[in-house]
Amino acid sequence: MMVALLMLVIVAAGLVILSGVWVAVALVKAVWHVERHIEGNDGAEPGDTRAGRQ
Amino acid sequence: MHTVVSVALVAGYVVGLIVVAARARTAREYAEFSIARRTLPLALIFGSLCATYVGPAFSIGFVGRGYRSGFFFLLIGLAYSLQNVLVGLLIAPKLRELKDCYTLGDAIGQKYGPRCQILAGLISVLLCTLFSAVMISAGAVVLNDVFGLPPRFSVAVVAIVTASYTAFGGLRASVITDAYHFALFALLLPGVLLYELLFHFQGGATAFWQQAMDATAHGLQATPPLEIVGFVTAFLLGETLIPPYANLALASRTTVVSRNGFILAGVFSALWFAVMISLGVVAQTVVPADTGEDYVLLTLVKATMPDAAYALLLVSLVSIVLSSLDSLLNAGAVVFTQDILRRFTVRQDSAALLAGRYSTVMIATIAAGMALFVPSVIKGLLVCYNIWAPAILPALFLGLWIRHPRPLAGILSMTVGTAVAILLQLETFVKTEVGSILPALVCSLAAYAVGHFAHGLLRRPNR
Repeated sequence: MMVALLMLVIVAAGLVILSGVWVAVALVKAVWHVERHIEGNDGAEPGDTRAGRQ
Repeated sequence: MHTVVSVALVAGYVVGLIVVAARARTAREYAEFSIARRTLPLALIFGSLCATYVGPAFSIGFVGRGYRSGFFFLLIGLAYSLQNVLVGLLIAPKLRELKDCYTLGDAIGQKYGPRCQILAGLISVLLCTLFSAVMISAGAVVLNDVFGLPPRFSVAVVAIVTASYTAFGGLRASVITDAYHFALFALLLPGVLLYELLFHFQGGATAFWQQAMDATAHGLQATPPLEIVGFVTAFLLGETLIPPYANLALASRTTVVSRNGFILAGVFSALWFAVMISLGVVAQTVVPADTGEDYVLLTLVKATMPDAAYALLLVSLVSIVLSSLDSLLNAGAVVFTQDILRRFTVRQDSAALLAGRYSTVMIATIAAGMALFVPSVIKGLLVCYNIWAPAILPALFLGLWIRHPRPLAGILSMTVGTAVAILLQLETFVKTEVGSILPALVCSLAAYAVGHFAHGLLRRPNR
């Protein structure tokens, strides 16, 4: 029980760090491919509802 | 040597922010300024949502709470996680489905008519300005405490820096800089926790368990049940779909992205609270007992880590504030332009884009003036939470789910909810330990029911 609490906390910290890495990668992609986004070439998955798109 | 490294780290952060903000580029169309042309992918929606809600209260505040009351506050924080998941499942995809919708006011306007849109816009702008004032005040406190800058100058620096890139880049610049801020603090603060656990914390898992349980038991005993109900209500409802979150739901690339962004942000908040509270538990053996809650994190890092790490922490604290503030300024400006100005004038997109930029500067200026009078960050946030939920949520939620929502119900619910929430916070009225959200919410729902049936009765003779 005692070890489990500490392990949970360490896993939580690890997942937060992984989230940071995931967003950082997305940021790099977004910053280096700005023009592609602006032209609306966003490559959504098939089947997604693009409701209300401007 | 240490000073050189610290200065280099801070300079690196500033250069990184400038590069990212510049690459986000200037918005050329109103749709780009307000909803980033609905092209935002899941990772950016998730990062921006998390960066916006992780403000000083969810970072410094939670470390202080963990120091005093262990994991007790994690249980309360889970109400916030649940709220995000519920919004993701029930509201965000429905909002994203609406066509020609730029703001929450647009959504309300489509359901209840233009008068309700203007009313929702006024309430949203008021709340965005209040939230922005609280965030500018928090950022100024950091600059004042750390660099010794005068309060007025600190307020001006925070407001000008954030307003400058938000006014030009709009939502896209706000989201991209949010991702930069998020990546920074999501790597740094858990890193601090792991460093403390590996290199400083004595006693291993047993000591951690013992300290956490003792503090949690103390927290539970020291908090009256009604106050717990008040906290849970505030966390569950207070920040639900405030304008910056609503704008992100609308700017998502697809309905699936909109839904998943909120669900993931809810899961992340639970992990984040656990990390912040654990930092507070670890700090118990290092930080003196008479330290104020807001200074536990700073004291811990200063006492145990190298100077460069302290400089990085300060940078991440500034990041936390700026990432919340830029989203609020952009949301406030878009709401003011879309829900108020465009109802009367500013019909063309080019004029609306210009109006959005001027509105950003105007809201930042007013909020900076108000920031000088904010008593404390937590108190300021609680005022905003107590007004938002009763004012908007019943009308929004019922409007999205009822087949034929009636305008009178929307107007009555928003007016009564706002008025009761404000009145209950005034000293002259009886303050309850559960806060004003629940009573004001009940009044708002009752007003909605009255308006709904009264509207039906008034229209019947005409049929």
